Amino acid sequence: MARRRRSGIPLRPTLIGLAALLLAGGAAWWQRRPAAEAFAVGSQPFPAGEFLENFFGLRGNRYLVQGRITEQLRYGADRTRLFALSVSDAALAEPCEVGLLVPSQFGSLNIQTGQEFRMLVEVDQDGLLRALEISKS
Amino acid sequence: MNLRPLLPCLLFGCLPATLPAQVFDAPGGTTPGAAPPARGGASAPAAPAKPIFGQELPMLNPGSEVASWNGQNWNVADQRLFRARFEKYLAAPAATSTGDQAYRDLLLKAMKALSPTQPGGPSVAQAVALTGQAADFPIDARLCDSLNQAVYSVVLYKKNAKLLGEMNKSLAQKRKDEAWNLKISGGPTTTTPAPQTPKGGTPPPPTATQQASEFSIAGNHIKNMVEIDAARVANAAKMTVAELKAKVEFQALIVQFFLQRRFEHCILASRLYRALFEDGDAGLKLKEGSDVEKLFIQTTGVTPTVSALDSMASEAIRDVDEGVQAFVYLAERQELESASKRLSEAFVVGEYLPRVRTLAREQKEKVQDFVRQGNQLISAIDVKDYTLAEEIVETLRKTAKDFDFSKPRAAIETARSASGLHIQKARSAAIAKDDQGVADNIAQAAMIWPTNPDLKAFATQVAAYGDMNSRVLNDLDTLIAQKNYREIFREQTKYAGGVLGKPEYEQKLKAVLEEVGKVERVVMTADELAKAGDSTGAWERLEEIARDFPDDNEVNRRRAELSRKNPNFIHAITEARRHEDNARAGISLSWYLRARRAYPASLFAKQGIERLADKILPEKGGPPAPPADKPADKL
Repeated sequence: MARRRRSGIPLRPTLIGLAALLLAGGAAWWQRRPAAEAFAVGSQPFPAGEFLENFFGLRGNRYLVQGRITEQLRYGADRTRLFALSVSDAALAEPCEVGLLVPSQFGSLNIQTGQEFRMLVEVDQDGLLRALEISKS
Repeated sequence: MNLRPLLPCLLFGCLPATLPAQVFDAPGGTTPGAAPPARGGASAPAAPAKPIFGQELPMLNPGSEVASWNGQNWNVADQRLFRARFEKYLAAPAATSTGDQAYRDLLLKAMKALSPTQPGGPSVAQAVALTGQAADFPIDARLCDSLNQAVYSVVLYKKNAKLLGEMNKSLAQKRKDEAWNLKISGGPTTTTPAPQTPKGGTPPPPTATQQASEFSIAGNHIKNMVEIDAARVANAAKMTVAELKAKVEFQALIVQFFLQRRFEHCILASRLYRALFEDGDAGLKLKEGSDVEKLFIQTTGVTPTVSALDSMASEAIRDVDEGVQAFVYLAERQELESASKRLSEAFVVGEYLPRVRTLAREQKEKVQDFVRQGNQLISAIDVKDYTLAEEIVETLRKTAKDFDFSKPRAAIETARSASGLHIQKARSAAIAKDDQGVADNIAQAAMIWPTNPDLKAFATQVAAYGDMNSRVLNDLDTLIAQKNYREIFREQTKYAGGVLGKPEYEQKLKAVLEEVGKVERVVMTADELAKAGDSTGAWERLEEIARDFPDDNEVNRRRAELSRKNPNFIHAITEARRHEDNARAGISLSWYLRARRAYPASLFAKQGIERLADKILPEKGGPPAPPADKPADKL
């Protein structure tokens, strides 16, 4: 009986190489993965529906909100910016836009229309959301 | 003899009020009863009223049947007092009672007693006795008594004249005696013995004493004769004056009877006059050139005598008889106008004559309605009530075959045309807003025809126009105060007419219409958008204009209709506004953003977002609005 001809690539080294490669990649990903937001810890999600219907109970509270910038409404002289932020809420049939004031301390942060962000916001006395912490999603 | 020229005298003679003032003009004498002229001349004597028998006689124009007297004109047939008397006569029963007949019999017997054909000649005493009885009847009005008094005056005159005649006769005898005595006293007296004359010698001349005595006696006789002559002449003059006075008074009574149309009394008095004054002097003692004299001479053409009056009275009686006969005939032929004229003429002349007084009421009733309506027609034309006049004319045309309606119809038509012309001018003036012209022409029209129905209608129109105009202006003020411009716009034709000529209101209306014009344009735009499927856009347009015109029905109606089609958008806008109004910029901004998501083309949302963004974060300069540190809002 004729002996089956063995392939030229050795299986075991290949598998070991691939495993090493995966490990290296995983290490790299782990090293490069975004750090978990500390501001998100323990924060309640922003209740958009309740906010619209009765914001009085929300005033002074801080919420974790994730949404997409739909429009920059104003850009202040001190780099304070006013955005329209589209947020979703289970209580709403469709996303809603709310006003978001990004203080000048985030002046270096590049915020563009269409970008999504996770933010820690505070509801002020007039029903305006003020960004306290911002991170890009 | 034509009596028509005497009609005015007879007509005015029938006015009892004028009769006491009628004074006969005694020739050459003063008017009896006239006030004596004031003496001293300190107070200017008032000009005495001219007596009717002096210079102020009424004159008649037979052509026009107009009598002129004292500066006034009367139509003989239209004279109000006469018309009233004539109507009263027509309504009165016939004077056919026993008393009336007895009265007429007495007068007839009195006339016969004075007839020359009566056996024994005219008997004044019998006639006076009969007239004395007649004076007791009311219809006589004591005229027969007046006649008897005049007769008695003549009797007294005659008695006095007889006494004066006897006195003159006595005086004549006395004068004759005086003349004889004078003659005797101039010759040898029988009582004084003649002086002895020596024979062959001449008698001795009378002594101076004797001569003086003789002259004295002769002088006394002459003086007595002169006195007697003077007394005789005075007596004769007295008789002449008394006779003249008696005649004048009697003639005055005759004329009075004639002018009073008491022709039977006139005839009686004339015949008594001739019986009492048998000297044949029957001429009326009229003042030469006086109106009375002219009246008789110029109208009758005869010398004014008692006999002439007698004959004229008889002629009047005959004329009245003929007039009544003509009336009866014409009334039977239904020619009521002619019949009433003939009867009225007969009545004017012979109101107290038996033929007129005894006319049966049934016959008079035939023309009574015609006369009454004719009088109403005259009154209606007098007061210019041409509407009533026209109705009466139509009625008279149907009832009287011979009614001449041309004159009243002409008067009516003339008045109607003239009045209508002025009303038309007033209308033109009203259209031209010429108030003065309106007033003038209305006054003219009212003067011509006060009861003109067109005038009343025009006045009503003017009043209604004035009321309507005032009401329109009041309504306009009210609607402007209510900002109900849409109602003004809807009735703009009415208000445009009402404010015409009033600049203040014209400006108000113009401003309102311009405002409503804006609304109308917005409404039209909204309608077009709604038709194109953009109901939200249409709602926004209407919502915007509703701020200025919150009560505009058209806008509100459309808003209500469109609001049902866009509940989410409208809810978002409403909430955004509510929060914005309460200075809650943040939540308001969120609602505007929600509204824009619902209707991306929303002007309200766009403007709201811009406005709030500017408020939250001013674009130029200034820092963003600090967080409001205020107490929690309450819903």
